[in-house]
Amino acid sequence: MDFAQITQKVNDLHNTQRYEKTFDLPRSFTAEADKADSFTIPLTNEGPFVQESYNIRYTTNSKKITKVDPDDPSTWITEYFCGVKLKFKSQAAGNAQSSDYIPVQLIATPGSDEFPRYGARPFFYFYPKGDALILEYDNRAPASLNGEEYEMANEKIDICFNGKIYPLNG
Amino acid sequence: MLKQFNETFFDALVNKRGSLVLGVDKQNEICKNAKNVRSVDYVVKIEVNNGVANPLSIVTRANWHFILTNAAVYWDPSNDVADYPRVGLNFPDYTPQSPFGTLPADVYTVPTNLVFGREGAGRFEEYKNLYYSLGQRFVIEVHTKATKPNDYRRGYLMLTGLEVNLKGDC
Repeated sequence: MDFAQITQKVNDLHNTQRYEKTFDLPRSFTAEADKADSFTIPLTNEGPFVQESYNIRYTTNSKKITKVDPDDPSTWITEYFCGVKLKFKSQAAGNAQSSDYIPVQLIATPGSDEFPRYGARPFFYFYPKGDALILEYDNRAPASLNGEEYEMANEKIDICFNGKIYPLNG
Repeated sequence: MLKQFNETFFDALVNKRGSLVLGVDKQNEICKNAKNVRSVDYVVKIEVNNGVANPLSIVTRANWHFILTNAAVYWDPSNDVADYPRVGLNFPDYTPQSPFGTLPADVYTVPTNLVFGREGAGRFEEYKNLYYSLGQRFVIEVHTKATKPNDYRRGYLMLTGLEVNLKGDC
């Protein structure tokens, strides 16, 4: 490739990005313990946003306490977990992108000390210009099945929505 | 120098195929397609009691075709043993009859340790295009079976796929 060809490619790139731009939309929030809530994330006014995937990372601060002998704390087993469930919704479309709340473990991006990151989760959705993404979360304790107890804690959730913006009047 | 620039930076910057010149017509086409093909998650709660599973069904959204691309199971943290029940999927309304019959679940269960969902590989890629349906609204039945009696387990089954609107007027 000579310099003229590179110049041409730069021009092509410049022209292309008038119509299509790769876009990452990162958001971090705290899912408060024993609470279900929602909030709105405004999207760009530049043009429609076509979401292609997302990455989610979460903390595991909540506790499940199994009391083998309720009177003997030395037998109590504490295990940490994240009880957050999520639901996404387009403000313009109104309907949710899932039929119910999804446990974050089902949609999060694997990654920990033991395991390498596994990549983004593909999820395609079209948001028109000026739309907003409504994120609903539920961080309430599951019902006890076998006498175990739960101490829910605040969990930090990091999300990065990946996709492309299609600027209007490019 | 220019060669290195091209190989290591420029091609990746433009796109992986190395050529893309987007105009307004292509932009409109991409956005129109994105409006009419979108991802969706169907989530149902699984309960297994004494070896008997609650019968579940999922009705896909009316007037949208649905292509199932993945299935995943997450067992609730309230379960206290590693011996999780098996889950099978059946597609009774599929014509011709589903070639898959009732599918084993072990491979699409989110990797777990004794109690909690654990991040790991192999969750999103197990059953790409597991089931394909166009032009019909169908029901997926979920049958679960405990591996031993007197078990009570609960969890979540998530079926992920693409919704397609062929009318193009959404």
